[in-house]
Amino acid sequence: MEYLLSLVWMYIEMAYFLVLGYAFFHPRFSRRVCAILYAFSGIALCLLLYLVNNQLARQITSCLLYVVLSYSLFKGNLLRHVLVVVISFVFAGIFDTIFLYCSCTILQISPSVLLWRKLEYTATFTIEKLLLLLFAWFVFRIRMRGSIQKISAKWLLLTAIFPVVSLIMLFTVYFNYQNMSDISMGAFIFSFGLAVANIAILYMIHKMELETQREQEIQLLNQQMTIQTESIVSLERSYRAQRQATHEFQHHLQTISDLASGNQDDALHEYLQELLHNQSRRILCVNSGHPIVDAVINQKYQLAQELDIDMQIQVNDLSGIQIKLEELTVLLSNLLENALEACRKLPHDRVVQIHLLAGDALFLSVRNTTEPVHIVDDMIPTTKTQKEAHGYGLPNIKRILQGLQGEFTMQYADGWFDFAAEIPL
Amino acid sequence: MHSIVICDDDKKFGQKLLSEVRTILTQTNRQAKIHLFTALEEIPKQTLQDCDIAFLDIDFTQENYTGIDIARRLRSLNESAVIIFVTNFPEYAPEGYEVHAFRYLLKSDLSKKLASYLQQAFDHLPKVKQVFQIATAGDVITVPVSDILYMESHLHQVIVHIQKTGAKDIIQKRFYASLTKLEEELESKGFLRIHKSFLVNMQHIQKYQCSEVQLTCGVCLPASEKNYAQQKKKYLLWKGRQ
Repeated sequence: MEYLLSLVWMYIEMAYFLVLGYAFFHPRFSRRVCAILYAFSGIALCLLLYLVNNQLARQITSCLLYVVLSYSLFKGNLLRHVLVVVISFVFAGIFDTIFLYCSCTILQISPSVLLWRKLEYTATFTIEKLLLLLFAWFVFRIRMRGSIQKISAKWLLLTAIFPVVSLIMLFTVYFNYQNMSDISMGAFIFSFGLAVANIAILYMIHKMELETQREQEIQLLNQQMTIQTESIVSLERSYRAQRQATHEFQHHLQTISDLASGNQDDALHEYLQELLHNQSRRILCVNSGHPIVDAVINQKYQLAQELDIDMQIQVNDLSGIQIKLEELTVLLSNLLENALEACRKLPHDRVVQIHLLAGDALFLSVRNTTEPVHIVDDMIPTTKTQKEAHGYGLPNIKRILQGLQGEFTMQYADGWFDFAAEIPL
Repeated sequence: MHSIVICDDDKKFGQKLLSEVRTILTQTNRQAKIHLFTALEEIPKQTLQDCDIAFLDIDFTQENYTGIDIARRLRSLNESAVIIFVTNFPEYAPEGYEVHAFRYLLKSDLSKKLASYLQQAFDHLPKVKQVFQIATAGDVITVPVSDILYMESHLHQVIVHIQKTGAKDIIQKRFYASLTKLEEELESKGFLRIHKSFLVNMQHIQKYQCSEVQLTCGVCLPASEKNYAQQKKKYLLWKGRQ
């Protein structure tokens, strides 16, 4: 019966770590697979702890196993997993101590007496484990999943120092008082202080992630402004060209009128023939019915011409699409800019193919010839020198597509980079 | 032998284009019959039906139609022709997509890009003219791949659902085969296994959602949710390559 209880408490404690994992990381697998791995890990942990006799070694082994479990079930770099697991472990240990102290105070018995009272002992530790799990659920609820951001390794390392030191101090206190029959007020205050400090660390991580997210949003806004400025310049250029075409048209009308009123039929006929043979210049190379799409693609098309890149475009009627202009602009501009940048590195065979097709959903595809590209987790390591300024291109695209509930994929094969997305309309 | 049609109201340019195409064919050791026209009315119906590659000017200044109208006429008679629009200034528009324009060739870029575009057109031709052979009881039927909507596995048989271009009726042909083996054979021809019982021609997918695929003919088929993410990615990448 005691073994069964221990197993249940162990699984509840593992659930505590699992829920905190969901609060701070993205899972690698589906919930069903996570649940199966969780069940097997519990058995493995049980067996390993059974084999380890030494108390200190047992605690360290548990902590390491939780790090391995966290890293296996969730994405993110190892240092981040170590940090979150250590803080969680420290907090769990401290909460154990505090709750035990409070229970003994309420029951007016010492911890060594509590060990012999099965009912009180069982109730105390069961309630304690469930409260721990409740705390984890509470953290999960207040954390925004979308704000799981990458914090630099430098900050993670600095932040990890306090929890690791806390863990060492906790073990020290634990192995000092385990031989005592009672928990001193000093140990209680010390534990309480450590708990508060580690919660503060967790809160700091949360704030750092929010800061990182805010920084990215600012970068995105700056990028949107730059792109919109470029679009305005391009539109202004097209507007001037249109004005010139209108002026020329008025000039032609005047000439035709003069020739007609002068009864110069032959000259008029010859003039009209010449006029008809000279193709009227098209201001925009794309006419999809959506002026912003036309402006963005036209701007990139002109750039492609200058870079000797063959840009091939397929569009249908996009006049009805309802996507926010700023999102569409950033999406298209980033994709096309990436494509042109990759193409210009090639000595020849520079091709960019674009599909923008509206139907039940908006299909967007940009393909380009390129040097070999390595894709990791739907990201391409940036080659740009100013990473802070330009590294947000592909993440921006992903953020916008995720916000629009779009699906996307990318691949490199046979000298071509393909990016394709579908956005519900 | 392939058939190439050139239609441009500018006779001088038309001749120039014909000459350049002939030179490229000689250099690449290809044979093709080239027909040169200056107006839609000059082009016989049979020539359009037999046409493999068409170079069409977009602007016909003296006429009340454009190259898009010629392309529409061509498409109504010939689904598999490769259309290359030749123009002074490009204008990518829905009409070009509607007639499945393959490329837009600027007249100013003729010498630079014609060889490459012509080669790509020849490479593309086998894909649009692909056929599939169905061995039914005592008979072998050849069906254009573009006419196949989907294949369905039923007991030990495969049912091929076919809708000929322009027709409304869907006909079924049954034969003994393994859908898995057909998937291996037809994956490169644009077929996707959306479900253990269904192999769909991606050309005819109208909508592909988590548990259902709707075809352009209106038929809805169940799709495997387990494999949805992977198969949807294949579909998106395929669509981007068309």
